[in-house]
Amino acid sequence: MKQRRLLLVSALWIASALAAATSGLLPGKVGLAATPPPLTETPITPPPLSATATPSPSGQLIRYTGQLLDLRGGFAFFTTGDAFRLAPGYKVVDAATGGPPTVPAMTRTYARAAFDTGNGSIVQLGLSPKPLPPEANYQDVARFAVALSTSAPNPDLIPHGEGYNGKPVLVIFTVEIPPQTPFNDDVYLATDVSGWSATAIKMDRIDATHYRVERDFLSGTRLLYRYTLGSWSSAERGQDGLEVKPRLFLVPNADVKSVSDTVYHWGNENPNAPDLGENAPPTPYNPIPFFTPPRRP
Amino acid sequence: MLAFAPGRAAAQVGPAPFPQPPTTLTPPPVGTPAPGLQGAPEPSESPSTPRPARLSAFGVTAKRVAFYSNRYVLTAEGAVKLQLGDGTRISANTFFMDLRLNRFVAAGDVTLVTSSGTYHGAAFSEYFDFDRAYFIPVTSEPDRWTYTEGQYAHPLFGREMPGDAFFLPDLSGQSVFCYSKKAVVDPRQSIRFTPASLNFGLTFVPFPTYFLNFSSNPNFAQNALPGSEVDGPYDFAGGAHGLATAHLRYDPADNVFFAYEQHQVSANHYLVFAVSPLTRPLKVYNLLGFDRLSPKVEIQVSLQETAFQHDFSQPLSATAYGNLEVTAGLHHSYLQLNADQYYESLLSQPQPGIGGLLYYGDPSHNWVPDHPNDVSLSWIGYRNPIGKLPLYLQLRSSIGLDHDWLTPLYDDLPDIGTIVTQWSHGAGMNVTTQQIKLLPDRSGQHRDLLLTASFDKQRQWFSMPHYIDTQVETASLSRAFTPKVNALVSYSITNTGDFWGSKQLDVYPPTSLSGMNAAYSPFTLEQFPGYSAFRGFATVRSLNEQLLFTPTTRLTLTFSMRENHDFPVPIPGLPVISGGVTFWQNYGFTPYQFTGDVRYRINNILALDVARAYYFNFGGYQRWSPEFLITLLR
Repeated sequence: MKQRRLLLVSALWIASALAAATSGLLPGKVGLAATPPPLTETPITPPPLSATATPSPSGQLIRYTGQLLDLRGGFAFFTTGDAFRLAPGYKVVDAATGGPPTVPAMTRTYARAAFDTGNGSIVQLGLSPKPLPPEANYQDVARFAVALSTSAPNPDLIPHGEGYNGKPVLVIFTVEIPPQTPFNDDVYLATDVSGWSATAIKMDRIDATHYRVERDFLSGTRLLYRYTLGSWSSAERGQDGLEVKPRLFLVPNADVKSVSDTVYHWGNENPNAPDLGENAPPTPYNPIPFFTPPRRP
Repeated sequence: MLAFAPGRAAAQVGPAPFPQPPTTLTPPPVGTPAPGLQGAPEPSESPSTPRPARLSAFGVTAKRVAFYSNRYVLTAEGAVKLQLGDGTRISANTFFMDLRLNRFVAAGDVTLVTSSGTYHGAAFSEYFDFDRAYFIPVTSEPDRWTYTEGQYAHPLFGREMPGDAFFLPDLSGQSVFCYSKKAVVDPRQSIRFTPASLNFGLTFVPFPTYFLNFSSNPNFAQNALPGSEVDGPYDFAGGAHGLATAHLRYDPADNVFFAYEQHQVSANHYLVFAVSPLTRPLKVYNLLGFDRLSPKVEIQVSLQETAFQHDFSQPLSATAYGNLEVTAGLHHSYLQLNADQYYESLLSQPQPGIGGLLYYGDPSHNWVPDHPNDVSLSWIGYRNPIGKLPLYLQLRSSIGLDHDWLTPLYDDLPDIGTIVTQWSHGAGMNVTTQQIKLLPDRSGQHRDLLLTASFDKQRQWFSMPHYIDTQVETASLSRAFTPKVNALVSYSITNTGDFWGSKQLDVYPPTSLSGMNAAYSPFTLEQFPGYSAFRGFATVRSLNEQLLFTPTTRLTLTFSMRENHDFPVPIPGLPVISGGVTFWQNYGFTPYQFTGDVRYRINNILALDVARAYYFNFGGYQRWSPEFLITLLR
């Protein structure tokens, strides 16, 4: 009975751990920052602007979508850092139905703003708890942003360059291992984004001295990693026998990126006695089976 | 790093370089790390200069603080109050921090209280790695201010800001690992939640506090705990250099028990102590130490004591093992000193008990004062190319000493006597080929037939007149048939020999392992009289074949077959459990073994690996491995 109860407790424990782990909940078991959630998959057809959402005589209505930071002082602030003037009597509606809003106009709420191009003010805000599909380009409304100070260039910002687009990149890690490594040993990639678990990513042997693994990472991902034989005591060492600093890899914009490394030594290597593998048969180092007479070196 | 538009989530793990100015709302504007930007963290290194107070640990309180472990983001909602390291206070409606990018946003009805004044605005963003803060104040009208190096009295007016400076991610559908009311965040190091309600999958469990370490220093991952089947860690205290963890564990031998582990680390050292189980009599105490004394010299210590003691009372038995390793890098080579100390008992000699036996408590805790030890100094050369040949050569040599006064290394050898101390010295070499294209693939699809071979030879001479030779020859052929199918065949021969010259038969007498003394299977009691032919010379021949199939990056199937023809023949053994895994503890390699391994990556964090081996009825009872080996990799 006791055993059964323990079994049940263990099963519940394991189930809890698995449930937590599979949903990425366990602390220290850090994955890559998750893939960006997809935009709303079903396109939302914007409801018609309400009757009062009419442009000034000199303007037209254009709409773009964004996320609110704040609404105050007659301005709507978006997460782009821009403040836009709210027209007197502007309407707040539900983005999906055009009816009364179901979420308050507050920080984090997504909004579809209808701009009167005549005066640059927002005449209607359609609110949504979920991200909204894009409509007008930012450039079309950027000119309506209100700021006291004149815009000044920022030398911190990169004026040129492609940057990282965050798309998935197939990264192929190939590592050459020391030739003395026992044939049946498993090689792993330990990374900072997996909490430095020594068995985070198992690699596949492709020939006598090479292991390989392919993983998708988002471009721009910064990865620190080390190779191990499954424990930190067996982590890679440098050619000089010393511990190596974690390798740094920044995932570039590419479809496929190959990374080739060489491991010269493992931490659990014994240079004086070749590693013949587990269960090595009788040798002078391990001469007697099971019930042993006096041992030898 | 990206600059993000509304509706897109931060998806990067990396430094927080400055993105380009906003150009469009969708798709997100892009940013590029600027070469030489200050603050870009070095891997695993502590900052060489102390961080200014304003960039150090800060506190967050709110009605609800939440930590999303799979995104590594911290959020706070409702009456958010921040206190930065320099005393600056910020209140807002909402707070979001990407712990990997090391920056936060406070938004909605923001009040910023600095040493130079109080300001109101819509949002405030802090980039710790670059010591830049961005603020959207609302005075008579909105504006954009940038603070550099904490100069709140002198904002840079109107400066363009990174396009995603105020990005707030969509976290709907994401699971929360920890809820709290208060968090103290040490950028790029840790968070302390007080109190904490932790997600255990089925429910949230309240704790008075929870310490989350997310330092990129791998020394925090050093593990001094012995293995167990299930382990639930709870980090309850810590800091930039320390971490205290209580563990609730389970294994079949001890059932459910507690353990404790303590880390003290820096970029160049670690000290890890663990005791497990805390709540069972047979306790294992481990201490791991490492210090890089200089860029070319490092020292590593490993100490283990195993004690049978109720609670923390006087142990009935206590054994210990200590290992010291000192490594010194030289020009194109290195030296390594390795010393082992084994203490069969740390306790003082007890009074004789029943039958004059020496023991504590009862005879099962017998007292054995044995103390074997050994030390060796090795020189290992670099792997150097041999001229223009496709070969590498590596040389090594060593000197060493073995000593055991209680259990002699050799007992009553004819003409030699009893030996308790033995010196040795050795030399070895390894020659390895580069990958040689045996049959080049003319199609350019990299489907060459590749040959790799290695030859390793070592001889170790002893002060006793004998020497041990070890020779390993390996050759392998591999080929990628398609980008998804890879095959490998490898053959290796290992010869070991203990050469005693005229005393060979004294050391390996023909009769020592025959008849009643014959080696036998502890499971079936089947005798293996062939061991009486063992004269100190063994040969292992292994043929390995492997087929690797990776239909997708998520799924990997590996099928491997190993055939061994060895002398002496292997002896089937018992099933044993180690680290929660049951396996056959054979003596020698099974003659035939087929292994299938399926690995499926569930998500970015987890992979499931399922493997099982078949032993072709070895010993008449070993067919399949005792159990599937199911491993959750993370």
